[in-house]
Amino acid sequence: MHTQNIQKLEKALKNVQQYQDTKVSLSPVFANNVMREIRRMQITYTENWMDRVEGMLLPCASITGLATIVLLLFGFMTFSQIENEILTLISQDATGIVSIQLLGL
Amino acid sequence: MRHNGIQPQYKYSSQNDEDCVSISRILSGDVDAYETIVHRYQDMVTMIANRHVPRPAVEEICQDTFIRAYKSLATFQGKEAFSHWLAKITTRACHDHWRSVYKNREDTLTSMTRGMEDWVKKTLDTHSQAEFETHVHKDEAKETLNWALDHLSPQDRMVITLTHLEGHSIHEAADLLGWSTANVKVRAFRARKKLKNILEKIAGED
Repeated sequence: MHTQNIQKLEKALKNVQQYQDTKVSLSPVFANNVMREIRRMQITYTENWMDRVEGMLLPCASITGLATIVLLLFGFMTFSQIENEILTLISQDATGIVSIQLLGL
Repeated sequence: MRHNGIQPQYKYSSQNDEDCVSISRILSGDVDAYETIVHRYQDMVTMIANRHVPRPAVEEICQDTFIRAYKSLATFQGKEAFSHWLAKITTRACHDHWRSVYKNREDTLTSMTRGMEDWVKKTLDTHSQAEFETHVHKDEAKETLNWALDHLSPQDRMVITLTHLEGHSIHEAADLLGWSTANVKVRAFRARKKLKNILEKIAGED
């Protein structure tokens, strides 16, 4: 009898689950709410992405600027050294061959 | 999350044609195309959620489901019907709902209300099928079912609802929950035993 009762209750609960009212109406603006949330997420994502790009822009610009300065300094130093060497070469060139043939003076 | 530029990786099938077209548009950056998906499947998602969570939580679960689906849309391969893919997301959202509810639950389980006790008594006293079915449709019936399921863990609750109460196979339940078949099998067995113990107490008290 006890087992029968348990089986009966089990069957009843099974039926409750299977035959419960499935007509649940969502609010009429449900789809709009979902779409609003999705658009908001999309905007946030785009903003975050832009922030990341902007965040990377300053360090990149600093590194590029620094590299340019270093290159310019190196260039100036190298050019002045070459200039000195040429002047030395010309001043030591008694025959004038270097000036005439190599430098076109 | 950002779907622009992501190429759809799913295969087209005749059954899924309309869904595939919509998904393809969404993945190409047309966010508004998702509204068609929401309208097409909101009834199905609502029906699944209503079977697993209390009515006040249904709308929240549905919203959560559609947002989760949108976020993972790029991972939809099209190897199964979109409706089935969405059903899995809904079932998992329901499971997460119960995990969160149980985590924040402070009060101990309440005893049965007078209404529930009466329902059990009357159900046990029924003699005809018609009488039995009338009782099944009463509000107290759903309350009693929820009361009994509240004694189980979120995992056991989901497994017993899918397998024992709704009649899904172990394999189907495992697929919906994303668990291994062995795990569902063991859980289903234990959960059913626990539910039987609860019913034994109810029937005994009566």
